[in-house]
Amino acid sequence: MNKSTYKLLRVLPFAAVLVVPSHVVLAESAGQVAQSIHLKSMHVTLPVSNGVFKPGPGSQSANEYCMICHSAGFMYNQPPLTRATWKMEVNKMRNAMGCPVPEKDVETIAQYMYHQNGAPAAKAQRP
Amino acid sequence: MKNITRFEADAVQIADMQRRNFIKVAGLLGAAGLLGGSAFPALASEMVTMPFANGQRRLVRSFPQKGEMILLRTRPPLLETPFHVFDKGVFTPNKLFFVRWHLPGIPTSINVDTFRLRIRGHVDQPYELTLKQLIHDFEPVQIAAVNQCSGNSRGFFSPRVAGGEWGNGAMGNALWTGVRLKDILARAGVKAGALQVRFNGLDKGVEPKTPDFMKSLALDHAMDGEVMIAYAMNGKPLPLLNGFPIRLVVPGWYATYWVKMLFDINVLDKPDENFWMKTAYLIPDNPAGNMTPREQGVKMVPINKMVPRSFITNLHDGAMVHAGRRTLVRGIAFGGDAGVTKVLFSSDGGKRWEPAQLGKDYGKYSFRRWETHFTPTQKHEYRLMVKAINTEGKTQPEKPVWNPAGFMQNVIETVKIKAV
Repeated sequence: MNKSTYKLLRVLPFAAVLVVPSHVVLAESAGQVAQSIHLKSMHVTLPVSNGVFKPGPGSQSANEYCMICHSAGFMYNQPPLTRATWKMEVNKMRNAMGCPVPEKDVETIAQYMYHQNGAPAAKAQRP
Repeated sequence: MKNITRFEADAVQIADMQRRNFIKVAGLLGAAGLLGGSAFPALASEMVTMPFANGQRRLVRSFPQKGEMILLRTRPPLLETPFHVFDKGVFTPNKLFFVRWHLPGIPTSINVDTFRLRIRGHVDQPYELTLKQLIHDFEPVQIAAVNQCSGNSRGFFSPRVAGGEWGNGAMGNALWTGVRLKDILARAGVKAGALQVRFNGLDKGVEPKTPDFMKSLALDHAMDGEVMIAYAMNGKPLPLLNGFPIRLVVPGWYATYWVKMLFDINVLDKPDENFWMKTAYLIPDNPAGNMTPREQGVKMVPINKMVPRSFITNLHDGAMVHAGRRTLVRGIAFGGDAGVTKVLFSSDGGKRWEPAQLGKDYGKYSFRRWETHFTPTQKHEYRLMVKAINTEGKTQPEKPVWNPAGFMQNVIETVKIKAV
């Protein structure tokens, strides 16, 4: 940051009373907003995750099917789940969410998830 | 209908691009199989750690129209507001407002000239509106209202449950400008026998069998004059990730109903049995949505009204303060589906409670700031607690809420600080 920017930043706190902070809502009425709002056509780019499932038995199926709809990190930030819960989740994806994973791969993927992020049933807090 | 096809094409294009991109990246990585981070370690990002298992999160600035957010999931996006934002003001800035999508087919291009809101179903005159017509042909209204994810605070559940593992940042307060849903429906002429009103947004799945995300409200609720269609948030157009160009606003109800990129309003003469109403988003049938983990055969109903919550925002767990010094404690509160009448503060782990001073009242559905002072006389740990009471006398429970989906948490919050 150059010297003049630094100088400006030092002055800013004093200028704050003149500049409305972005989190303060301007006291425009509904009518005023309606009159002044200008909706413009939008185009955005959403970031793409580079994350993939760590290698292991079943990771190929996980990468092939789970990532069709959501990025992989989501599974890793679940709390550790029991085998039964992981199986239930994979079945939910297949039965309720329209995941095209073949039935024969459900067990493989559930086992994989359990090994990646599993809690033993006895120790785990239910469910 | 044409513009819907175009958005569909967009969504499929996005999915294909992401799939191809993944295959490319996976090929590059080979056996290395990096997870969860950039493929280029040089682009290390800042992390935060939530105080629960698997609580490490990246802080990211990579989402359009968004500042620094806590990343819960890239696709479809789940972005949490860093908690310090709630100490800065009673309204949550648009660029820091949390983001939650269910389905990966999110349109990334919106043409405001060709966009249409259609109103159809059990009505006398189905019709369509351009955005200009929506904004100018109906009386504008404005309401300050908290938008909170049903699963806000799910990461704190004990025992833990699967789902979006939020801290407390899946909520925000905004001043919403728009038109009453009631007025939109009145123009169509709701026919006798209408039961519910169903809302659909432009987002969809990328697999043909993925249930489209749709939510419904009872007709009386839809016609109550408070439910609205918003085209502005804190005086500005909605960020795309918060539902540009328009979204439903259901004051006092959980955010699952606040359908984003709303384009279709369908008046139903039968109860909505779509997956997202019938199977998902259910709570135990009591006002607190509470049950115990081993309970069987609990009757479940669709989640609905919010419950009171309050937070300390200027002191975090582990903060250190000066012993003997008068210390400011402040935060936010909301009454759920009613206004806040009182906020009580305790500095001794809940033995004694004293009223805090309430800030400006922006309306019954808004955040309300509160503040108080206390002097920690001893050099030890203090358990600071806060609870809100709403205008209907509802308050927060001492024991955390539990249900299998991790919804409706509103336990009295505790912050442990140390006086030194």
